Amino acid sequence: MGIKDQNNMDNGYEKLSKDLKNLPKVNAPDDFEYKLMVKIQNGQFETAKVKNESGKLWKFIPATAVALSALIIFFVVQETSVNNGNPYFDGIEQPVAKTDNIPDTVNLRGPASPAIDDGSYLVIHPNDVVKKEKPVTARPRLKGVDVDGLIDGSLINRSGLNRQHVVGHGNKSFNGFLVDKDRKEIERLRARLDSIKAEKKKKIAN
Amino acid sequence: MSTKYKGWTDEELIKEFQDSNTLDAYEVLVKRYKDPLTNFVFRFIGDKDVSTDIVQDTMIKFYLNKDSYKSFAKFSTWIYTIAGNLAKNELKRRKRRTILSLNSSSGDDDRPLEIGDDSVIDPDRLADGEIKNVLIQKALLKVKPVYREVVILRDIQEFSYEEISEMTNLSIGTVKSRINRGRSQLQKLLKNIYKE
Repeated sequence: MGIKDQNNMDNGYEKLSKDLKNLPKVNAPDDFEYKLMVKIQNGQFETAKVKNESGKLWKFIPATAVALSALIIFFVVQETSVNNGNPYFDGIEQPVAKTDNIPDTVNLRGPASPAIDDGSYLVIHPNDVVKKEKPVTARPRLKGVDVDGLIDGSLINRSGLNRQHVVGHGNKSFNGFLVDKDRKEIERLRARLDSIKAEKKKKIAN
Repeated sequence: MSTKYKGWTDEELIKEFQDSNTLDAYEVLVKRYKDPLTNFVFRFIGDKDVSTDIVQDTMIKFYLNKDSYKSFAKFSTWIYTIAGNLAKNELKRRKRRTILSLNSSSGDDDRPLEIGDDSVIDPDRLADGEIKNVLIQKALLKVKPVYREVVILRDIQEFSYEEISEMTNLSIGTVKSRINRGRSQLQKLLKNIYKE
């Protein structure tokens, strides 16, 4: 790079360049070296700029805390409102499905019939369809009686031979929970069952 | 401080510091460069206190990384590079901060600087050094940083194009081009002083 080239570059800006060159010099403060040596001896090598930046971050903490709190409250409120859609919901699972699906069962079998000797019984469903179903076998080790099962007919068995599977475990004399073969009694019990079911539905609806 | 190193060149001093970890040699170099570096950084940033901090950081970096200096380059080139990078980092930080600030004084405004509506100022005082210097510094801060840096290194610090090219890691052509553009911007901003 020749001097001529440099002169060409500077042409037109001579006055400006001169003024820039003549700007007063700004010097370092008198205690510059002292402060520098103190920093070096104390091992303070973290830059002042970094310090200032980290020091100024504290002012964002309140705003961040408020924002986070708002988020947490928002999500918590949303979660609880899902459960509170139904004012009657108390967290306990409603046994609605189970109740609705229980068929209207009454054992219509008459005295022991050699034709149905396998322990099955007839079941009348709500749509008046009669089906032959096998009862739920009781646990052999249990000596107790499933009263609910007897009432709703799932365990009622008119067969004398099968009586022992349900109650008494062979105690043929026990007939306290057996459904009477009297048809009137059957109708009465069916009506009672209907009313119990209706009551349950009403309670759920309320 | 020892007077032993007074006549030594910069390269001899840094070598002494590198080889023997002589603090005196380091202090001589600090004394030599603290003022020119402060002037350079102040013209670039515009804030005296911040400039002092940046030059302090430069010296600390010099102290910690003395072995990264290679003797094939001039010491002044090396230390000005460090100072220049720290000054540019500071500008970037300020730019991020001014996004949130209402008062932005970016360098994109090309309008000529006005002395102000103060009619008390005598037009003859335009030639007054003080006011002129203030205007020039204000105008300098409005010039784009990439142009500002090279204009300061060339016209204020009086480095050659080759030295500036090494400091800024730019080609000589780019250095010249940026100096030219920087001067042109300055001239526009100082239209009231430099009538074309």
